[in-house]
Amino acid sequence: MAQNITESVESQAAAGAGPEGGACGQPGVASLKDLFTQLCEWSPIGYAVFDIHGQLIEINEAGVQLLGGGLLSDWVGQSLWPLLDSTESERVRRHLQEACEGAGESGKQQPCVVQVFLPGEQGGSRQLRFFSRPHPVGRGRLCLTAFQDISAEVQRRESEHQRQAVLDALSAHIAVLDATGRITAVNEAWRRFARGNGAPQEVESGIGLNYIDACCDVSAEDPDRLAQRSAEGIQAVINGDTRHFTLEYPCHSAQNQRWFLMSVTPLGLESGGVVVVHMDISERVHAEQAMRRRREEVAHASRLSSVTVLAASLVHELSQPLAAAQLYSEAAATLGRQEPLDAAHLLSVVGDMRGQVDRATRIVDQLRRFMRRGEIKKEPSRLEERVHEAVALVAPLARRKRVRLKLDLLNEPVIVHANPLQVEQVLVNLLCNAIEAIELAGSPVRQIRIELERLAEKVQVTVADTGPGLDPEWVPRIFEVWETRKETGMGMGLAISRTIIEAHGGKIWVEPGSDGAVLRFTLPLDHEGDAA
Amino acid sequence: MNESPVVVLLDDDPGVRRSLSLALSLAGYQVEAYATAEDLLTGLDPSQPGCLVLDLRMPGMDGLEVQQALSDRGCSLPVIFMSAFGDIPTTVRALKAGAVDFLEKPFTTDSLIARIEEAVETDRRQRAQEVLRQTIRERAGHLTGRESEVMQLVTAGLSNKDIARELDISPRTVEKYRARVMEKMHADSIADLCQMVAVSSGLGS
Repeated sequence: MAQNITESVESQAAAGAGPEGGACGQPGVASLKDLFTQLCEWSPIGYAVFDIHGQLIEINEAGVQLLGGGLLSDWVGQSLWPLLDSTESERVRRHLQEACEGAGESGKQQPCVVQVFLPGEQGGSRQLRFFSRPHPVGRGRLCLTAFQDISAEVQRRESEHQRQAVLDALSAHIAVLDATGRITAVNEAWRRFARGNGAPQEVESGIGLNYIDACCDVSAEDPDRLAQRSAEGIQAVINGDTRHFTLEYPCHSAQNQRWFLMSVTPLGLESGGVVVVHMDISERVHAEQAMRRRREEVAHASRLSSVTVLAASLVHELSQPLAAAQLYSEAAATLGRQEPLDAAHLLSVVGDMRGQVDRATRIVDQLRRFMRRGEIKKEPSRLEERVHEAVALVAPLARRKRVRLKLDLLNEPVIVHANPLQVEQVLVNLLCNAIEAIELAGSPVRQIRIELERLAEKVQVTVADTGPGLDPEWVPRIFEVWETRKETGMGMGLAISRTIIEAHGGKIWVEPGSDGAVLRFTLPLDHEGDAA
Repeated sequence: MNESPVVVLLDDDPGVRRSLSLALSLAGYQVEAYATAEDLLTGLDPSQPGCLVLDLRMPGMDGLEVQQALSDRGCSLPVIFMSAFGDIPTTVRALKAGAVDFLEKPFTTDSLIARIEEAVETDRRQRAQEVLRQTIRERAGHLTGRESEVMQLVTAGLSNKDIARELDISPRTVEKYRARVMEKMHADSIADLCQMVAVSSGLGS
């Protein structure tokens, strides 16, 4: 049944076998012929003989399967037309015609090739590729066709194209690294960025370069160790030590300030490798900076309003050392005129005077620092120092109102990542509110407890007073912007306190069910600071 | 009473307390300095002449309360208040309670000394007045009931005739009582007697 095909294969095999064929003699060729017949029967490649009208003269089992299955005998004498739509039919008809007629053109070695869409099961389609040559004995009326299913190959190529197109369409700069850190693919944004940064054309894609080595090379001129940290991060993801690594870094050009977010994720392949994505987050960073500036402006205004509340007690506090210094200076003048001169006494008075001037200077420094328009930056900061600063500002008011400030701090330092002024401001607000509550209610026990507690990953600060407590109806709205029950404007301090604490990743709330008012807030601990 | 005046200081701030003590000692004053109101109330001898220099604002008992406590005990030493930031209501309360002066911190030694001098002088006068009042009361104690009545009416400005009618006695008898009153009270004139009555009743100065 596959007579003609077998003949063709036989001739090719004979040609391929060459001298060995000859050497082996007739029985060897015969057994090869059987072998090739079997191979043809069972190979995954379809073999068929078509006539010039597209009628199947012969076909192997694999061919039947590729065309949709059924009995081989049913296919012989059939054509492909019922399987194909009109355009496909036309193309196949032309292909077969050319293949058959190609017999006339001597020396044409290349087979005709065509790709054919066959409707598949469940509405899908399969794609076959036909390689056809004139049949050696077809006299221009027959062709020999080999065909295979190329659906998977096409799909793979398409999905590769699709992936590249998707990568190229993304605005982030993307590179794929192999397990050694070598760049194996990049997207268009990556190339564009490299071009924009003046990379020479031949290296703009960076393909073949080792990314980790490149990072290590720039480390020398990198004060924040950004390149080194990137290299370490990529290595960690490659090693499987971490699933994900991100790093935000500035990358300012001459024209504008830019920030990028680098993120490294594993490819998830046997061979390893990672995807490195650099996303331009300048817009987000600019927006955050603008927000921080606005928040600091409001915070500053609120600090000035706290100073108004504290002013009288601070003037009192300042006038004490000034009065003492004045009296000491006059005493010194008197001592200086005395005969005989008691130099030791005079010097000790001058020393006392100096001590009082220093005291006044400290108060002025504290106040000036608190009133300053604050730095926007957060930094590792010792929380107990913030408590001491805030208490120093509020202590004169507390003394004046006869309120005792009781500090319950921790033995070891607690480091938070925070804007120090803003944290002090929150404490000043809470303390001023507590003093005022005690004062207005005329509470007999007059005490405020400030307590620090270390919880997992965060620190909790409690400000508890012995005042009358908060009106439960007011509590839900206590942190809202325009909720204030006082003429002093301190109530507004709670709204800004909440904004500040939340911007630091913490929470602030009123602890219910206590006698006096108990306000608490948390701040996340700074681990880098801890380690330092 | 013949002792030299003592300036009694009260300020909880050690710097202010020590510098004040030094400045006043160098100016020749005897100084007694206290850090708390309680110490002052325990340690103060109200019979010694001088004045008080009190800080208005203090933790615990403040200057105003010290002033009140002393006045309750009948101590009338003049009070000079020092204040860093005296608000009007507090100032008014202090003045009503008899404060003689206010000083805002910081102040010069001279301005304080000027006020201390005035206060010491006030104290001296008050003490002299008190002595006088005691003498007058003592003399008045020797008057009989009738003599006392006649003195009241004479100093109220009534004539002998009116007094005679009021007491239903003769003008001559009035004249007799009046001479005895003048003698017992050591008065040189009716005006002198009027002055004494005013002083003893706390009206005169």
